[in-house]
Parts: sequence; C-alpha cells; structure tokens
Amino acid sequence: MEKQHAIVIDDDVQLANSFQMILNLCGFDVEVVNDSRLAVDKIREIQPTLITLDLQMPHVTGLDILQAIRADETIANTKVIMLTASSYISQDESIFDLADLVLSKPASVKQIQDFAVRLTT
Amino acid sequence: MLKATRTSLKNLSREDLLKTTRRLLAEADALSTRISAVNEIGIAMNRTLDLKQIQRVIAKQAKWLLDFQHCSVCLKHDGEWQIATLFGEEQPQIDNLLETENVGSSIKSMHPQLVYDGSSSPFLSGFQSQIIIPLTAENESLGTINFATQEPRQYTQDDMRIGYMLSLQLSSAILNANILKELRSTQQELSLRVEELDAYAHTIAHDLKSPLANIILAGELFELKYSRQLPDDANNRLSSITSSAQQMNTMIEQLLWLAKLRNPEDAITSVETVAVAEAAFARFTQRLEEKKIKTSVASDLPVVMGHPQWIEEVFANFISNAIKYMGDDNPDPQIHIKWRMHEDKVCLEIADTGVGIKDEDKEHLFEMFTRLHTVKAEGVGLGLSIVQRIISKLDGTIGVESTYGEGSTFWFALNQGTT
Repeated sequence: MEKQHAIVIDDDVQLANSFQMILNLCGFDVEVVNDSRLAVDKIREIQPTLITLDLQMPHVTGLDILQAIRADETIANTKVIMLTASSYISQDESIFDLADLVLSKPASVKQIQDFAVRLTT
Repeated sequence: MLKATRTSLKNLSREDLLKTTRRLLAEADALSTRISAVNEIGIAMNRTLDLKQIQRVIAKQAKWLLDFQHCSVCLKHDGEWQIATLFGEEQPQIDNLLETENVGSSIKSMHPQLVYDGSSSPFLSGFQSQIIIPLTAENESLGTINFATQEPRQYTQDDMRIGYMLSLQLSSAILNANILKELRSTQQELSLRVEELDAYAHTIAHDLKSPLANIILAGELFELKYSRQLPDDANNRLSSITSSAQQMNTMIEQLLWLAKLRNPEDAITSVETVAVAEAAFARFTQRLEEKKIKTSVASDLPVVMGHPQWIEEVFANFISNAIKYMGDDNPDPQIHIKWRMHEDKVCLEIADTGVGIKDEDKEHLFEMFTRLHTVKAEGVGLGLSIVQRIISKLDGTIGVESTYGEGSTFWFALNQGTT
C-alpha cells in the first residue's frame, strides 16, 4: 500500500522534527514546513492526507492557513490537527469549527499518534 | 449682646417691647431660613460627584442666602488656580491669583475675608463689598468661594458666617468629586496594566510552552526508540526529565488559568454540577483505575451559580489532592461527591477515605491558600490558590473536615442556581 502523506507546519524547527518523527512512526511520509508563507503552496503540491498546524506563527498564522485550506476545494478535505499554546488562552473560536482536532501543547507522542491514525483511517 | 438687650429692655414701653420682640423674631426667622437654605444646598451638592454639577447647584441656589452681583469659585485645575464665574459677568482672568490681596491671601492663610470698601486686588476690582471664604479639606486649601456686590458695606459678619457654612458643604463636595476623579483615573490605569499583564502572560506562556513541548516530545521519542537499549538507571533519569517538564507545563497552564479568572466576560450562570463533577472525575480515569479508587457523584447535586469550567477546576483540584493523599496501602480507597445546604448556600463536598489531616495541620491548611508560594508540598503548586480565587470570585466559602487516619471532606459553598 502506498504511504499516506502528511505535512507538519511549525516555525519551531525542533518541534517540527519531533512531529515528523512521530508521524513517521505511524507510517506517514512526512514533509516539514517551517516558513508559514510557503505552507499553502506546499499543501497544494503534495495534497497530504493529514496536516499538523501550529496556530501562532509569524507572517501567516495557523488560522489563515486553515481558512485557505478550507476555501480551496482541491485541498479542503485534508484532515487538520491544530496545535495551540494553551486551551486557557482565548482564541478565535472558528478554529474549532474549521479544524478536525484542536490539541493544546504539549500533546504526548501517544496522543498525537492515536489521533493521527484515527483521523486518517 | 444678649445681656445688653436684657438690661435695655427694662426701660422700654410695652409697645416698644413688642416692636423689639417682633424684630428679633423676624431676624431669627430670617436666619433660620438661611440656615435651612444652606442645608438644602448642601444636600443638593452632595447628590452629585460631578464638579460642574456642584457649581451649577450653587449658582442656582445661593441667591437664597445672600444678595450678590457676582459669585465665583477659585479652584486648582492642572496645577493652576483658576476662577469659574457662577453668577454675574465673567471676570477677566488674573495671571497671578495667588498673589492677590483677596483670593490669594485667603487661599494661603485659609482665613475668610470680609471686604467693606474695595480692595487693591485686580480680581473683582469693580466690587466694593466682597466675601472671600476659603475652601479647605484635611487642612489643605482647595480654593475659595467668592461673593461680591458693587455697593460698599453691603455684607455683615452674619453674611460671612452663612457663607462659611456653605463653604463647609462645598469643600466636602469638591473633595469627594476630586477623590472620585482620581479613583476613576487610577481604575483606568489599573485596567490598562491588567490588560498588559494578561498579554504578557500569554506571550510568556506561548514562548515557554514551545521549548517545553520539545523536551517532552523529544524525551518520549527517545524513550520509545531507545529505552530497551538503555540501563534502568538511564531510563529512570529520562522519565524524571519528562515528568518534570510535564509538571512545569501544568504550572504554566495554572498561571494562565489565574490570568483568565480576571476576565469579566466569563459571565456567571446556573451550572449543572452533576455533569461538571463527572467531567472532573473523567480527567483522572487512569489514575483512579490504577489506584482502584471507587468514586460516586450524588445524582441530585443541585444547580449552583458559577462558571462550568471554573467549578470543574475546583472539583478537579480537590479530586487530585484526594488521590494524592489516599495512602499507598489503603484497603478501601473511595472518593464521593455529595451535597448539603449550608445556611442559604449549596455546599458541595468531596469526601475521601484517605490518610486524613492531623489536627495540628488543619489549623495551617487554609493558611496555605494565602501563602502557597512558600509551601513546597509536592504537586500542590498553584492548585489551591486557583481554588481559592475561583471560590472568592463566586462569593462562596470553603472548608475542610477531617479525622486523621479516616479521611477528609473538603467542601465549598456557592449560591444556589435556578433550574
């Protein structure tokens, strides 16, 4: 069976690498995007099954990217896990409508693996 | 003066005596009318805390007290003494008011002045009769109130006394208005500071959480991939790194909680406590199963006034403590959530069969709420201070009953909600 693609979008290089490893362990072929400005183009190019997306990033925020994903019908159905700094920080409530799952940092390896598999099978 | 009147009365005819009595009665009557007018004005002034409104009251009502062609107040605005004309023609502004013979010297000496025949001051230069009364509060000069008329020798000592009575009322009204103004500006400044602090807390939390997430994830990944190749000691050290990072994460989350508690947007509503208590238990499913702790939530827990997330946090804090102090070899570990009425409030109880609290520790237990930062109880962290803040925000009370060796019942009482 062909490997499913995933994209990790996070400006924190180390954190993005950890996510890459975790998703690799679940059997995904993973691309990392650290510069949020390049994210939407990369998603259009790769057409991944799953995206993990950091909410707070410089230049283009996770919410901007999420809105762009949902507005483009070629990628609108991609499963998106949105990562926020904390559930106690007030944020735009629309992320809960637009994302498939909202996780607050730091999610555990097991949590991420469970949800990634559950969302894509 | 009364004695002189009494002596001279002996020599008066009956008719003169009657005349004098009538005159005295009329004077007393007039004076009492003026005094009650001062009171009326005082009440009207104290109804408002707005300085402009206070001045309007005086301009309108002071005519009951005195005859004047000019009435004004001299007050400090942004550090400068300024005249506000309340009645009569606007007077030209004087540059150095504090050096004037009438207003200036009354401000400095805090003594009233009665001018019969004009003064050398450029202020009120066309007015021969003047009453200048200092406005003072807490031994400090607030300014003056000034009455004037163009004719000479129009005012008496009695007029000055009436003016003085008015000045007392006016001083306290001005003092209150000034305090309110200061209070409002302090309040504004404070809420700005609070907003800044909240923004700061959010930034800090976000910035701290990324490296923390790195430590936790990298540690877990390392454990996942290499734990079999590592000696036990190395594995233990690795778990200690990740669990400390988790602990720090909990503390950051709780700091954010404390910041969020200030948010007035979180409106207080009626909360179904059964669902909230069950949600709080659900947070600890794994730990409860591991320790084989029996739990229950009374199905008739009443509705209370609060915020669901806040009350869940309170339950969760007490449940977490109950698990922590259950005792390792407890033969019958249990945690139950029940209720009773406490005066007119609903008292929610978290009862456990844990180790309990020694009598001597009970006394200090609630002190911990206020000086938590000095207490190094493992895992207590910010938990209890959050509980305390939530309960005090909800106008509730909190307490504990415990027998050492038998268990504890922590309770919090909140206002009853409406179903």
